[in-house]
Amino acid sequence: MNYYSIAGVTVGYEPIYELLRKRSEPYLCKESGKSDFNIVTTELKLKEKLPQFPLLTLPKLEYMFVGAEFYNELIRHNGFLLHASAVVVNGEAYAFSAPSGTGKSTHTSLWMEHFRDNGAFIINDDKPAIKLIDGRFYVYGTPFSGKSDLNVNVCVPLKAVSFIQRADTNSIYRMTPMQAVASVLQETIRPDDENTLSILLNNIEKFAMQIPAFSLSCNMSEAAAEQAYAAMSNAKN
Amino acid sequence: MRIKQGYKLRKMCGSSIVVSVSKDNDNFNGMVTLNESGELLWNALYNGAEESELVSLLVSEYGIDSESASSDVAEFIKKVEGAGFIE
Repeated sequence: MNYYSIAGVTVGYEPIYELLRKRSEPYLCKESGKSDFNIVTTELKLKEKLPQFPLLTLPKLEYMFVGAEFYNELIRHNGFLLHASAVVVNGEAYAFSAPSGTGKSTHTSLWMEHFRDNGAFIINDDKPAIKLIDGRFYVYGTPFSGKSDLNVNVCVPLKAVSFIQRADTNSIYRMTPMQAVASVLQETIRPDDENTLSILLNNIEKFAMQIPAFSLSCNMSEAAAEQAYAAMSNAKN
Repeated sequence: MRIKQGYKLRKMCGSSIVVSVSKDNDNFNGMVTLNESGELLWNALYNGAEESELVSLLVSEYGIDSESASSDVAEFIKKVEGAGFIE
């Protein structure tokens, strides 16, 4: 069993295929010790599941399955998945969340371009972990970043989140905490049992009260990044 | 009439919302917010109540006439039924 340190928890698993092994490598613990939880997969188990996912290959299924298990367990460690692309500028993280195909990555690549002199980098392009530590929310890179392998093993304080729609012209407005709760629920995964759900909902509520959330309509111009940054970086809770 | 198993009412950010706590309900990612009277009707339906009982409940609780109470209740039932919350 290998031990990986992901989003501040130690998780044990033994990758079968190269895809998961390679993407997990930056998170490998140097010393072996005790894990917070283990994820067990076997080739047989994956082969049994594969017919349910005709578009996947075994390596992709393993990667997806371990990611889903990880994010389910993470809830019990005060974290949750946010379907988002998270970018860091001047040491603070900004998350852009939306359903697949809306243009999360397109928008954060505009930030990368516009803020390249401000140390801009992507933490995770598709599924960062959001975690509550001592009353503050942080964004973690994880090996689970969807199709892209854009992720970095870092932890950065979260400044603000935007939920994106594509539009011809750019506009941004602040959401109410209740709107933020509804939006986060649409972009995370449902836990297995009622206790875990209760932890998740508690943390989403704290998230909505603490992290400024915006509704961002944007096109693909660099002005979209500028406008989003102006609103998000100045937001006070 | 009764609310299906697996749905619970919960306060979040000062509002009452309906959450699906069962894996069988696939509409977890949607969210339904209830106002004060919605919460009252929900709780009555949770314990099983007929439409006429809901109307009397609104009449006694808010002092409105039974005609507007009936139309409010009908609208509420249409919404929760449409969302698949009723058995």
